Amino acid sequence: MSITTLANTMATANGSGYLQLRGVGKRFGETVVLSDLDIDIGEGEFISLIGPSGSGKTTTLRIIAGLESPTTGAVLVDGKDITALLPNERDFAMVFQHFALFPHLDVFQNVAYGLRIRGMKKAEMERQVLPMLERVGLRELATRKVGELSGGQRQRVGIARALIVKPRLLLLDEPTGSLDTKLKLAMQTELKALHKESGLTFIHVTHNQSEALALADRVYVMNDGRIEQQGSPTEVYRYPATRFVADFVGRNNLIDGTLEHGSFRSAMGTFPAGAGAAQLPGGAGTAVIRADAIHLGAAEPGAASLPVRLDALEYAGSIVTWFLRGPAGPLTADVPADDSGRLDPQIGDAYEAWWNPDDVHYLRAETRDGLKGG
Amino acid sequence: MAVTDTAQTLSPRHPVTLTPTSLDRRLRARRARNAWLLLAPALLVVLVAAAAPLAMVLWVSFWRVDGLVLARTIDTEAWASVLSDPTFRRLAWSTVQTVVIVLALVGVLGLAAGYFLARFVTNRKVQALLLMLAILPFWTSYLIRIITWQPLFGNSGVINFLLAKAGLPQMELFLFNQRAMVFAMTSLYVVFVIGPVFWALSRIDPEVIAASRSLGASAWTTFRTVELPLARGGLVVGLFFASIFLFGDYATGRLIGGGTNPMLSDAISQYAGSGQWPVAAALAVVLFGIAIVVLALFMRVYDLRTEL
Repeated sequence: MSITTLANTMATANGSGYLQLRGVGKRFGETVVLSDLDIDIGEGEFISLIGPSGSGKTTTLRIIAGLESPTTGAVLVDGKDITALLPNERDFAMVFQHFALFPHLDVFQNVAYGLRIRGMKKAEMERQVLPMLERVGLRELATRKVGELSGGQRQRVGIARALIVKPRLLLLDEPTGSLDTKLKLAMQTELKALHKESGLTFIHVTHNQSEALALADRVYVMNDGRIEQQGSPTEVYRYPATRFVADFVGRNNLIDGTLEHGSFRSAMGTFPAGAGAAQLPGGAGTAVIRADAIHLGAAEPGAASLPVRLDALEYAGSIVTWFLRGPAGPLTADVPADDSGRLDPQIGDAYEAWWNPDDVHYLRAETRDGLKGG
Repeated sequence: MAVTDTAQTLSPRHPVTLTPTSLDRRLRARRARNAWLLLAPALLVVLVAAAAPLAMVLWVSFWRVDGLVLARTIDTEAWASVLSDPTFRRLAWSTVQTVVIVLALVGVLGLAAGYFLARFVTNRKVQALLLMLAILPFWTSYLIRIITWQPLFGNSGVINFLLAKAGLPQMELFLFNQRAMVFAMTSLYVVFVIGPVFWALSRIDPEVIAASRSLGASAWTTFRTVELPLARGGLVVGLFFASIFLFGDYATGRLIGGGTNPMLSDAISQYAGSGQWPVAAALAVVLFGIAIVVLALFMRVYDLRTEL
């Protein structure tokens, strides 16, 4: 039993299945947006649905919210079928990518909206809304029009507005998608803290894999209306189950080849296979090597290595990405800035790239989605 | 240091030294000039075609009719009769009543139809087609539109014919009474509300409605607390235009209402027709005043300037 399948089984067993999607499919006319989705979410979990745009993750979230109805399948809460319930009959609240605040109301009124429509008295409303505004740091802006707020402030209004109704489930549709990088990171920290404090179940949709890996307890990777893999961020990051996941999550080098007698043969060269080879029962497969597992300079004994040329460099703070050309294709290495500096990289120069064979993860050929070569 | 250098090298080529303030002043002066240039043609039309005739009307209301001859005097005879005769007061009151009833009806029906178009018709082409159909009657003559009602709703019209055939009692519902007039006016002017309401509802971000629903609001609550406040501008614009037409509409009252519930505008046309120009003019001034008050009330409910 592979690690990922084991993880799947455990998730289904533990995650008491507070929210379940069973065989959910959605088509718009001839276009199939979702096909046969099974999702199990436990109470209090922070779940991320990640995938490229058009993978169906937002549609999935809207089906959970009741804003779209599935063509097939069912949505269950505590085992009860809620597929036919209207959005306002479900105990969920949603946070939107473009905030979707009420433009005719001020900050206080926006946050108080869910209480107002439940007929709450003004005094009680203030008793609940003001601490909530305090919590998200908007106490001073209570009487501002939402049009006068910055993106980060708007999203905090959006989150406060959703949390105030004490939903059992908070649905977040690309909550940081409209924010710039710095605000994005601050909002991520904020979301993590809010999840911890509230103890609510969070379902979060993003195309930003690093956000999902940073926030979620468990990740569902979606592609083309299907779930490619689910598991903890570490599992999905270190042991991608399909070629798509290996390509989408993290920065991986994919090398096609064959495994025989403890070594991996490919157009790039023949390398010692390492411990990961146990997952591949021989034959054709793809070696997945994370960019941060590739080192440059003098190889350690027992390492797999190959000669490369430097094509380009990309500086990203503490990491320098080396874009390399190997004997039969490109190779990407994320090198710590200090190590990179010591190597004094020159474009066009020859280097030796190496990795620990035990850092390699292998995919079976049949999970290659029919993509040959690369 | 570098700044000074630049200033020195630039100054010989720009002998006229312009301080930021004077540049600012020149820009503002230019803006003001352009604003007047843009405004001038329309202002001229308004002065010649609206303000001048209105002043004329006011002047004529102080003339006097001696027998069949108009005397250009300053005389308060027409005003005295308009202000003292209870008939005119009743007329003014019933005009206001009719306008308010019709506005309420076109408001509700226009909202319903606009909401239907914006939310239930998903196909943009069908939306445009239905909106065109609503406007279509305006391409035919006003009188023809009203006259075509008679064979349908008249006492010996199609509806009563069918009722008689079915053995049911005949109705005097739709012709020559106030109900008929209100019904006809509603159908004529509802389109003024449908258009702007549809437009205002279409501009609402669907995600904002989704947000309301996900926070626990039913469709009706969402309409009341989100969509209606956001579409209020469209509603007021529509009612604004409808009321302008309503105040001046005397033909519907005469042809469909059968004169049972005359409007001030009807009286104006009759007095003018019989050569009683000063009384007609005084009534016109009164009607104008009422219309201004009603429009001012609209502005209080919703400041249209925020829509511009």
